[in-house]
Amino acid sequence: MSGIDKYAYQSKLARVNAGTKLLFTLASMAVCLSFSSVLVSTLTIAVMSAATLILGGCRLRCYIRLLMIPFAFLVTGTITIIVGRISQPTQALVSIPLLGARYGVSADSLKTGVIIFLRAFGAVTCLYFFSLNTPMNSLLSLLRRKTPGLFVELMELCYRFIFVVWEEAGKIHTAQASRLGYDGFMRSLHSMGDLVTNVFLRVFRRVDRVTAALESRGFEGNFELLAEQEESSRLLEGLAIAATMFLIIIGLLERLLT
Amino acid sequence: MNIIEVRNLCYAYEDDEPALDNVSLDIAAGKTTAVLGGNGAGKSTLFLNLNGVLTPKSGTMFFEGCQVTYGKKEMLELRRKIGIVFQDPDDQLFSASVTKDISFGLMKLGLTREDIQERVDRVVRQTGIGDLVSKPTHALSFGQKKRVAIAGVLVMQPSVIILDEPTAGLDPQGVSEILHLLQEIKDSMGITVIISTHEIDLVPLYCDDVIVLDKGRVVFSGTPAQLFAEPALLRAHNLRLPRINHLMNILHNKDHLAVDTSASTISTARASIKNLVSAKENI
Repeated sequence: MSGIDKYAYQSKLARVNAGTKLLFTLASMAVCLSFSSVLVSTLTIAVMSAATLILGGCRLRCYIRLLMIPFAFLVTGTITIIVGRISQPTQALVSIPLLGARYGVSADSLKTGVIIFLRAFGAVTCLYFFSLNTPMNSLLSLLRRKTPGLFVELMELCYRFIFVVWEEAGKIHTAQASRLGYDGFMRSLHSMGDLVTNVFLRVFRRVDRVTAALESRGFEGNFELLAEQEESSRLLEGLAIAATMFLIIIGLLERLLT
Repeated sequence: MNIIEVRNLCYAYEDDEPALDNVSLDIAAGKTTAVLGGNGAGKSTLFLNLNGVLTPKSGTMFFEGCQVTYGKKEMLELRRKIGIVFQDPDDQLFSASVTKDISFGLMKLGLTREDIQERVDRVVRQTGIGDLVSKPTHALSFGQKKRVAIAGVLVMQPSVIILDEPTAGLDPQGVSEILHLLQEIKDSMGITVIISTHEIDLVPLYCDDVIVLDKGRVVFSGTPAQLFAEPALLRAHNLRLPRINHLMNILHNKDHLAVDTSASTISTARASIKNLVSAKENI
């Protein structure tokens, strides 16, 4: 167990109804995206990060480390918006002449870039709140209520066997590495090829065994399972409504006053 | 009373050599039966034949006195009554949620949600996995997964539980926990237990009956004491005596001490040696 999967199971909100968390995520994300305001986006980031860190109990270091991944993508993405060709040289904050035109940063492009960056980052913190506080098992229970059974069953099986296959691949990798299988580029390529082939074959053999085990347990073609009990959290519901209302009011006030 | 009786059962995978060759055996109700035999002797194939996942090529099987027929409905009922715990729990546990995995199978019995929850909770208590239910399956250790797999079979309230090498790959602590659990399953729930194992030493401790398979044939069927009285038979089928029994035999044959050569457990061997010592002291 590693990464986001592990944090989600460790979260203090792990056993809280996934529906509540999803609604909170979607509502705050909708507010953040629809207002297009620096203030609202910044507040969304603050509120959702606080929810993940304080309510969920995620460690600050892990949270920041995880946020760095989308952060890097967002920065490179917004740079291309902020820096561009400038039509009216008077607006330019910084610019250089290049092939008969001026390229650089203008007040307008800077503003657009910052707003887009903050909106996107706000949405990311909303989604992180959901993924860092909702274990996959709880998400699957939520999906089971609305999605066609086949999809959820496939997801459940994939989710379970990813770890089984991953572990097996890990064992093969260790065995190869301890016999110098990854010594040098060409050998690494060879070994990786062997590893993939072996994992594939083992999966096939495992399918037979899993099928036999399922049949032994009376499998008839569908996975009806007991829905897990989840706690409903009045505290989270209240805070979610309060936070969303707060963001909407701030956004509306900002519009009225400017 | 025999809960399972098998007569002249044959099975072969496709056109290969027969994996089970004219197998006849009886499983006593409420007892623990060990099935011994080297790798490839046909133990796992036998188990899958017993609960109908594999259909015998020929032969008959009686369960609770009735001949087993291979209709779809009868098969589901048979599989509910005869549960198998597979050697690798990763083959058996298909859900990432422990509770959900245990509940599988119960959903089709027409029980209410509360009944199902109640039965799951009870089996969780019986198998001592209360602190595991909130964890995802992939976060459990091998031994913990094994317990969950046993719980998933017990929840169906079977009459017979078959365990394919239940102690393989466990640490000593895990082995003794699983064996205690099996003892409890037999004693307090009255479930017939069948295990396959390579660990000869636990046979005299935990098993009432023994069946030895070799190359798909039953070569011995009886009590552990009867089996260990025939060292030549054990050797012929790549098995060995329990260490304690081996020691008693050496003490008797090489050192000419008048110990009980049928003693196979620490407690019986201890009693026999104490007897000998106190007899000498009294002279």
